[in-house]
Amino acid sequence: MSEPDVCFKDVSLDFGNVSVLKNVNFDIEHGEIVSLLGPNGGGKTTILKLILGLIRPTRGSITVFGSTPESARRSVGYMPQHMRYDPHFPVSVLDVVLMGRVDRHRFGSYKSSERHAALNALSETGVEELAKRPFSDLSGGQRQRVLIARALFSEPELLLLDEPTANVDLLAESQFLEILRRLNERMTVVIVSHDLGFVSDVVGKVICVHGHVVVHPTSVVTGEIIQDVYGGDIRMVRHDHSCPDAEHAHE
Amino acid sequence: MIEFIHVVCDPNTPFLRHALFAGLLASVSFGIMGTYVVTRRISYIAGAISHCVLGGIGAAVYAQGRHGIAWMHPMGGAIIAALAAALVIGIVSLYAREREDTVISAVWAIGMATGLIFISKTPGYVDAMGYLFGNILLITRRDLFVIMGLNAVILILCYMLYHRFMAICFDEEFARLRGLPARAYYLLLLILTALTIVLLVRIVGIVLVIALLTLPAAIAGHFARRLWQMMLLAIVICMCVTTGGLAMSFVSNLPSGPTIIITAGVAYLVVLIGKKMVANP
Repeated sequence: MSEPDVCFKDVSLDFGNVSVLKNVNFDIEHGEIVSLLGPNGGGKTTILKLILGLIRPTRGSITVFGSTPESARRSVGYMPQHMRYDPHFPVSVLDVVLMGRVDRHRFGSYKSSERHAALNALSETGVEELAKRPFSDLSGGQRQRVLIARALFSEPELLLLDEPTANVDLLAESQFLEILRRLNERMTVVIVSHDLGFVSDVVGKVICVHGHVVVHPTSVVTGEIIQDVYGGDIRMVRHDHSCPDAEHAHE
Repeated sequence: MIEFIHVVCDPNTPFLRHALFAGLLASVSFGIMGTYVVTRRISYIAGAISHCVLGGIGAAVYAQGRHGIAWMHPMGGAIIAALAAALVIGIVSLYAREREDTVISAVWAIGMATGLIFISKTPGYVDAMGYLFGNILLITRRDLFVIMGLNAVILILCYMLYHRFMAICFDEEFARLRGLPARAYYLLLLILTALTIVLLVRIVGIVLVIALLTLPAAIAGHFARRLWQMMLLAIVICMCVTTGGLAMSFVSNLPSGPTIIITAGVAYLVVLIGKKMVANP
């Protein structure tokens, strides 16, 4: 059997005296599409940061594509939930996407072939027409798509999406799920989301995170399991992407 | 104003012509580095670096005046102090767990205090006001070549590293994840800012240099849609502000540095108010 893309082995993480993650074990196999589910502060984004090598575990080991997270970074695309940036930063959408290959670019301007590839990445996320617009003019949902395009432009083998559903409206949901399916044909995808109902159509495995971690196939995840992860009452939302009038699909 | 143009063209009064050229040339460095300072939001760091320059100038003046070390030029002391301040603040802000603003304030105050102590202990008269508020009218031909050299260094580096600097200023974490040595580029940005500050302190002085570094870029930021547009616009605005301020100071017999800064400040306020009025007529 081939090596998993991501392997967590007895991983624990403490911030001072606070234990954030305790004895976490899971694998993400090549070609999987996985959701990290759990309450705020449960450690979902922390797991992404561990995969990216932005923080190191207190105990245990993490491998990404068989090596350390730091050395595997260039094969990983990442869309953050929150970006620390100046909202008035004067930059076009195309320039933001081109940043996906800033490490490979040497000096001066980008070649036309690179610009063409960046436009393709924008087209893949359905926002090619925004290429010349200032990034600061976009809505939250448009920005997320542009940031996914930036991650895709770096040609990753593993794509990490932190709350990609936060700003996606109902009408765009089915389109977004189609994008995820298409991307999953050529890369492993990990999605952090509160909204299992939204991603359950495409996700094969759910990693429930609340300090500790329990892995379930999506088909066996029940309301009780989610209630247990969140530690309280939860609201069930049924998303029906087959309904032609999506506005009435939200129940 | 006609008189100003006459004096600038008069071969017997090179000081005003040098001042005009200094303002125009310095605008290139101010516009480019000011854009990075504004978009990366490090104007407070730039302020601390500029005030630390007095420490270096004071130490050099003291070494010359008290111990007769002739080669210790105030400009040399200023460069050493500015680079040291940039590196200390940069490294602290990147690695230390200490609150960044506290460290910046401490470096700011200690640099200034050190300079004042050295100057007070230097025998003879030292024109501290000249360093604090600058005097563009004392710019020499040699100073113009130094500013041209700085422009060349900044233009070449910023052209070569334009996309990398932009990535660092826009989203440092992502740049780091793409494998860029983001911290090294950030320190390089601070070093270039420090060099710009030192060489341009002659024009408006230690206290006011930060205003000329940030205000033209801040005005440009209201109109530019791309980073290079902001740089070009900031350069043009800075040229207008220094030339206009110099002309006004000549006509009204006012000190040139503060007049240039007030011109920049008024322009910034006019743009702010104008944009608000356009948005909410």
